[in-house]
Amino acid sequence: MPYAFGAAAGGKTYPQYFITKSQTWVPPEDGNICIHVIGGGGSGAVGSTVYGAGAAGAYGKIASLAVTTAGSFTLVVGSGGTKRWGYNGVIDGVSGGNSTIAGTGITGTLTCGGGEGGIQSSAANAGGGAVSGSANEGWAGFSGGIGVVTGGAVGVYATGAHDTGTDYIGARTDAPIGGILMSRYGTICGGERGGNWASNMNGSATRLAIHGEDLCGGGYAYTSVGVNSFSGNGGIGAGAGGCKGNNYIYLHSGYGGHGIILIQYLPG
Amino acid sequence: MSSKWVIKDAGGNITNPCITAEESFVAENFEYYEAYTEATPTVSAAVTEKLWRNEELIETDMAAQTPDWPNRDNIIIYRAALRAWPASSDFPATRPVLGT
Repeated sequence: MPYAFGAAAGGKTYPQYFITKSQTWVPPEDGNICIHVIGGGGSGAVGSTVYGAGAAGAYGKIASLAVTTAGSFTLVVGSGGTKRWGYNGVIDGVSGGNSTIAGTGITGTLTCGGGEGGIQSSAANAGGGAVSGSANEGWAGFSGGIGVVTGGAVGVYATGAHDTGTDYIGARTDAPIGGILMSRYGTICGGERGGNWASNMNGSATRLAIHGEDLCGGGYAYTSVGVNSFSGNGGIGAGAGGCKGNNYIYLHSGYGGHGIILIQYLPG
Repeated sequence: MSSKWVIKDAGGNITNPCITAEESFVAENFEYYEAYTEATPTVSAAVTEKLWRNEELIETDMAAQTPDWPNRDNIIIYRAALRAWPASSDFPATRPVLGT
């Protein structure tokens, strides 16, 4: 069963469904719905060259679609890229999966691509997932933020953000803050902060970077003298941080954030 | 039972690298798919032992720098043995032991 949370307006409850696993979805009641789709984020790379963060999945939305209980939708939820780990050498990250929707009243299949896994190269960054599919139902969206040092963020109003080399904290989403459970009435919300970084100056044998909040990128990790080093996971749909360190140190990149499909019944 | 799947086309090309789903859903909606498997590197004994050696050096670093630390003389000898261990014939089979 998808997670369902009601939103009350004018004395009536308008449920919303957080779809985290692929499924066939039948509307439980007639009405108008808004559908938000986010692809999976890419995981980070590990190695001693550069950081290689994962990119974010794309975001797409149908602002309003009339549905009845006779309709049916095929919802596919992309997973986040799985983390990479190693103790020497270079391992690129894993791309996130695509999230797609199809069904009654929708032309073809609408796709939000997963973000690319982190790349251990100074010549390239991981690319954000792309939106594709017919725009007949008002389907539109934005590519995910690229992965550089820290994970890219999901962009709800523009292409997803990425770190610009100023503070190296995981990129923030442009979605309203409060966390995804604050989403209501056609608006999707995200976290306020990307993940913070961890490095030698954090002391101890293990470096733990911070995970990104919902839709925000994970932090990077670096160490030259530790034993274990973990970069941060991406929040929902976001890219994970890259992990860099010397040989004979266990390096663990973060997981990319899983994709999600959010269905909201609308007032009126 | 796997909950993650790789979706492919008839030619074996990956069309979706990883989705979250029950197998029944995947079988109903996709003709070509396989369970997702997470790659794990193979770690040799030499690597795991050198990582253990590094951790021991970090954990005893404070003791080596503190003059009145209990058993400090043996800890200093132990740290020297740890540093020399990877180049010795005892590596990686026999770990240095901290004296008391």
